[in-house]
Amino acid sequence: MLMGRVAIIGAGMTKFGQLWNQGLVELAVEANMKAIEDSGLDRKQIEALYIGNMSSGLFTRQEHISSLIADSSGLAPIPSTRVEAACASGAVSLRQAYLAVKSGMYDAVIAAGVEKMTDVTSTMSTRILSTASSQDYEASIGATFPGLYAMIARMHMHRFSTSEEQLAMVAVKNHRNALNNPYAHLRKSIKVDDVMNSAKVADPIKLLDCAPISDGAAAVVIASEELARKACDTPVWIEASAQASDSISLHNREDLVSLKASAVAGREAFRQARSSIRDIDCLELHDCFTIAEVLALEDLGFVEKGKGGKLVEEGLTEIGAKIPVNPSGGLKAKGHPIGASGIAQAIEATMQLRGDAFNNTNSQRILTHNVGGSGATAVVHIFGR
Amino acid sequence: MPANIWRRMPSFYSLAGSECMKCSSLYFPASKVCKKCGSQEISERVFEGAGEVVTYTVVRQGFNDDSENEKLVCNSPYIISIVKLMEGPMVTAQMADCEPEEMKIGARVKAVFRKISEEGEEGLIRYGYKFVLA
Ligand SMILES: [Zn+2]
Repeated sequence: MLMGRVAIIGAGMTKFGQLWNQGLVELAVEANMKAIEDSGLDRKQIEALYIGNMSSGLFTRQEHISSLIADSSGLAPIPSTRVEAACASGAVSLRQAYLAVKSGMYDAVIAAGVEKMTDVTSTMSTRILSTASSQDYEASIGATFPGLYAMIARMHMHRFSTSEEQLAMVAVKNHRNALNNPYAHLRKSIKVDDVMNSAKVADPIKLLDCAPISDGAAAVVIASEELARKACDTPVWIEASAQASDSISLHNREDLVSLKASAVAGREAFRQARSSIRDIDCLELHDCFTIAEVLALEDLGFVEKGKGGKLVEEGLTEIGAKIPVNPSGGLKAKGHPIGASGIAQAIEATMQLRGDAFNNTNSQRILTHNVGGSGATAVVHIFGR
Repeated sequence: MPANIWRRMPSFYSLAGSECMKCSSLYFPASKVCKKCGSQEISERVFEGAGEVVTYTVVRQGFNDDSENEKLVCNSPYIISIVKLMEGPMVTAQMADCEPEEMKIGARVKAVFRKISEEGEEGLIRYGYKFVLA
């Protein structure tokens, strides 16, 4: 069975940040409307809606947001499905939308993601984010989410002499990239010293190693090859969509310094796209903490295990260098409204491949990588033009 | 006592995990299915509690600041560690009676029985394992 290709033909997102005057539904509707408008389709052509969202119930006390958002977007009665995989909810939503079109069931669907995080206190959001880890054996004994990544970071530093400064350089780069991105939450230039001197969260992770807590939504219109060619001059082809699972608890994994799910999803994505790391011009990686970007570079095979910190220090992940990473600013500086992040990565890839990104990298092929929890879910997409 | 705490009492009170009767793989917490060989022939295995620190962190911004539902009995900062048990499995736990300066990767530790948290206004107390330097 060989189905046609699948493309992104429209993209739209809200600004990411503390958006006090917009609720969950307003954010999602804004992104959906912008994506449909960008696609040039009539809204009646959209046949299904997928929404990545981690925890609307805990953040806003609203569940059943699938139909709520479909109806509020003027899209009812089409089927609408909420997809949850913690911080990877967005990319899993994208993948479900991709599969729905790839299967031949639909010609045009929306993959969206949304999170409204700032209506609760920051302590409460720390608690809510920890539901992505084991409640029984991690969170309930006091292991916060930054705490889990901190234990990975300490191990990486111990095994490979990765330095806190090298991790800080990830943050400095991503903040610099976000300066040109009007959608970004943190558009502020920082230095290595600023990261080193920022408040300790969970040693060795400091405040400026962490992605911010953001509100935001993002949406893309996914279409069959036939419709994409008719409706769009610059379709962005989804060349691979791969996903893998692992133990939710760090302590149940054999190796604490690599995310196996990232490696497995990466290999499967390269297999689907019949390509390799040499064919990829630019990366949008899951950098919820600076150590996560280093892990991803290694686990996806762009650098040998243990050498990720060095790669960043040598400037090889800067825009214009060997392999630009997170030209959008990444989760770190663009912001991380959990359910929206995976979709926002796809939007950055779309803009890069159309040539209208805020930091243009002249890329032919882009890989995006979205992680759920401390690595229990990983999703890798490859896009081409 | 809420059922979710009652259910987990064996693993929290005595580090009770499981052993696969087919391939001898060990698990903490207990696993109903062996992830290695798929066998469902599983028996309880209580771990002794001796082990060593694989990695750790000092949590400076914890859950305990304004949570209404569950208060950890220690305030930030507190130390969380992943401990590799002598028998093989690893466990995430709080360290007790220990300062951050005393921690290092590879340190020998042992499990102790301590108060972990108090839930709700009525102060329901949950006990379980923590680790101390051996
Ligand atoms: Zn077995």
